[in-house]
Amino acid sequence: MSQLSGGLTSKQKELLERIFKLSTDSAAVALSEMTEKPVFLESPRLGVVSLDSITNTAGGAESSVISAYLIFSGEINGNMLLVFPEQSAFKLINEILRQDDTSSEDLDKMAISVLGEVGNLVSSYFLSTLSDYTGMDLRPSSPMVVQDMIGAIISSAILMLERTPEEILCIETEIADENSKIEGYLMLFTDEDSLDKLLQIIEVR
Amino acid sequence: MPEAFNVGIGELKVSKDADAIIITRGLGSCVAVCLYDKEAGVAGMAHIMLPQDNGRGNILTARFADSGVPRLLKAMVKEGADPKEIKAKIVGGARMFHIAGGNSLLEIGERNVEAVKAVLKSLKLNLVAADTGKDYGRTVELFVATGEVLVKAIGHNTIVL
Repeated sequence: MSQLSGGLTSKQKELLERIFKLSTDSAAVALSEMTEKPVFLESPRLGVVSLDSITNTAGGAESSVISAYLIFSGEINGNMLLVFPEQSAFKLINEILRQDDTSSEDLDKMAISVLGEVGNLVSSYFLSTLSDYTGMDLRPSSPMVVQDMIGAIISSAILMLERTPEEILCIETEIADENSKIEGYLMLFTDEDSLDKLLQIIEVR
Repeated sequence: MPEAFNVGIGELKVSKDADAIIITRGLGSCVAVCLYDKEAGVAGMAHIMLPQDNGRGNILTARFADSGVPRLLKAMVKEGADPKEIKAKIVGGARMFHIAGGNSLLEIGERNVEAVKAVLKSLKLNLVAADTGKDYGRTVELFVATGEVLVKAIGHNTIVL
């Protein structure tokens, strides 16, 4: 019987939320260092969700977003997505490059490499915190940056899981700077076997 | 305003409302299978996620090519479509992510397209048009009255199938 089919117990949920809070705090440090401004990641919301509801994040399946995507593997498998609505992505890029020019909204080589680096930093801070806490060995792939409809990105990301789950454990947080100009989401998807393993490890600790 | 029916991931929808459009939005490596019988005025769409049914009792009726396409056909026939008159158009199966040294799962879009084609062939359905593969997401609109399919994508011209 899968852990997911009956939903998470409140204790499991609390444990997972605590770990993911530590991990997102650490990812926020990475973003703050890059932009040299305080950047916050809200306390992650954790849920077992259906595919349909998840692709309606950030303004519906068709809304255009820019996303950094990567796979992690090791003792558990999954993938991570950093998703920014277009405008927010360019704001973030401009802040990191310290440029005021907001007229350029082309996803050029420089923009792709900046967002790739954001994906790299955020995911490695996040995953190393998760590793430290659980003792699991987790290896991220290098990130890739995609600009497309959010529904196409999220559904395809989920299909990249080793085994496509019936339902998905989704961790979602919002990214904001002090003026809350940058809207973004951090999502982590994992399959049922990996979730079972993760729960076993944290419940013992 | 024509009625618009949304087809979510792994769902299917059949209509014989001549004013209706059947739509699936933000299709990535999934495949939209569009069937229509112009004579009978019946059209339907399935949003296929994966090639093979894992037999684990899914809520989503059209999640897998091997079980979802036959279910779509059955629903079409129930509404009065004649299998011999049905034409098929397929869209999607994109490769959304290119990762250096990536794994075979990256080909999921391609495998979905192959699986759908194989099922259509085994059901003796006539595949008349396709816009598959490539590396971007699509929104698919099927017009019930005409069987015309519009494929929209960000940064690409709309394609009519």
